[in-house]
Amino acid sequence: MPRNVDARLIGQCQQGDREGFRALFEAYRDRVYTLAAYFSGDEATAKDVTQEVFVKLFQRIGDFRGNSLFDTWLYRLVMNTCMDERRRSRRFVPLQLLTGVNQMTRESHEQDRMRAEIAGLVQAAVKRLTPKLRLPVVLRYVEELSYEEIAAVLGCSQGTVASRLNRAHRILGRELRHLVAPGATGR
Amino acid sequence: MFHRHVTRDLSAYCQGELSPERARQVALHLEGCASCREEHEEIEAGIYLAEHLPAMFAPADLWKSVERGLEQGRPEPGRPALLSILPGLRPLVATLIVVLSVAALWYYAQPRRSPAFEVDLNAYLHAVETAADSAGETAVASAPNGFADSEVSQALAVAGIGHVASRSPLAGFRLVSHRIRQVGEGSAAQLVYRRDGGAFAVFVARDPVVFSFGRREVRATKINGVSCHEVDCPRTSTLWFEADGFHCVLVSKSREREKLGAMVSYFASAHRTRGGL
Repeated sequence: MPRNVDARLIGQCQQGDREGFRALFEAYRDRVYTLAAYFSGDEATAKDVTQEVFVKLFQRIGDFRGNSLFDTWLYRLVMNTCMDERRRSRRFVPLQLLTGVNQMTRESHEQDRMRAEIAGLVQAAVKRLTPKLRLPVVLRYVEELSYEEIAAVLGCSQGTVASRLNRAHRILGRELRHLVAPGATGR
Repeated sequence: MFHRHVTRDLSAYCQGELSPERARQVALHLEGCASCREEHEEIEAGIYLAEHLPAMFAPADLWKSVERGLEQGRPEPGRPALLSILPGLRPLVATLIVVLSVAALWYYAQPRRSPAFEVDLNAYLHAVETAADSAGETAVASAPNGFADSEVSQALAVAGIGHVASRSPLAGFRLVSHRIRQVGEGSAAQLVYRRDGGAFAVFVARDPVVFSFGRREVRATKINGVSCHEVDCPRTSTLWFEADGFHCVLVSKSREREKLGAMVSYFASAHRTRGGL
């Protein structure tokens, strides 16, 4: 499914077509769950948040006017739902998902054990970032959004996105420098 | 020559997010600045590592959860807002909004008396949410301002559950505290149920007595099919619901939905059956 979903599918959902909504759900379920998981750091909360996001999506898709990318609109919904959940529970539970990272992540399908190991360590390091730094990282590297798109999702300026990513990169670089082989960055 | 350090722009530079002119300036600076070059290497390493960040799979049964959420009597999706169907209504609605706003401003500008039949639980909730983990249950069981110990039968009568009180709302939990507060011509009850490692406080009042929560956010929710409201109280479950003229507030450190649901169902159904007595 392309990153910006077919406008016809959105139109079907806006008409209350449950099959269309199911298709939309299948297209975005993992991405919404990933964001919720990285934000909340808790599998149960991520599932609750993801469920809430899709229920809200079904109720509010009539409000989507096409004046922004659907992805951006949906990601904002995810962020707002995560923030609501955070206010309700006021907790950041350590990312328990990590204990089962090989089962939980798509990287588990890779034959390259080194890559999977790095993925696990990076995931652990990202979870230790504050939410302000963690979210731009996830949106950049998992959702592959540009700085401009990240700024639209988070409701901040591109300069703020750049600054936060800068700090996050610096932290990751310092913490896990030993994992980077000479010349590995290729830059 | 660009003399200021460029560390703030290094991530954007590495990721092609700078304008060509700015990227050129950064590149030029890096040639002549060792500290920025060092920072640049660190950020390049961070970017390389972040590129390994894995995405995740949602649980397989998630669609079922979503379907349940959709079927819990929520509004139909995709309906366009009324105003988009009836554009001619917009001027009328705008006028109405202005009139109501002016009326509200006038009303709130009048000197006000505090409500005669309101029990404010904000201070109590503050004590519960800020209690240390080891003291959380004690805080839940504590008496809010104005509540005093009473005869159990009196508290149960105020709470409207005298006719079902022989059945505990939750297995293993006993009614350990029963308090009343007079509120104008009415009263409110606090019932505390406890067992080892757990405590629930339920506040009950009958119309016209109501509960308030300061400026806490309140969100509609449903538990065990009972419509209720979740009150924002960090690290605490605080549910407010109504049944047949009774207002109930459940407070607990427990986050177990099953137990919370059992308590809510008990009080909700007890008040409905009382209405029929």
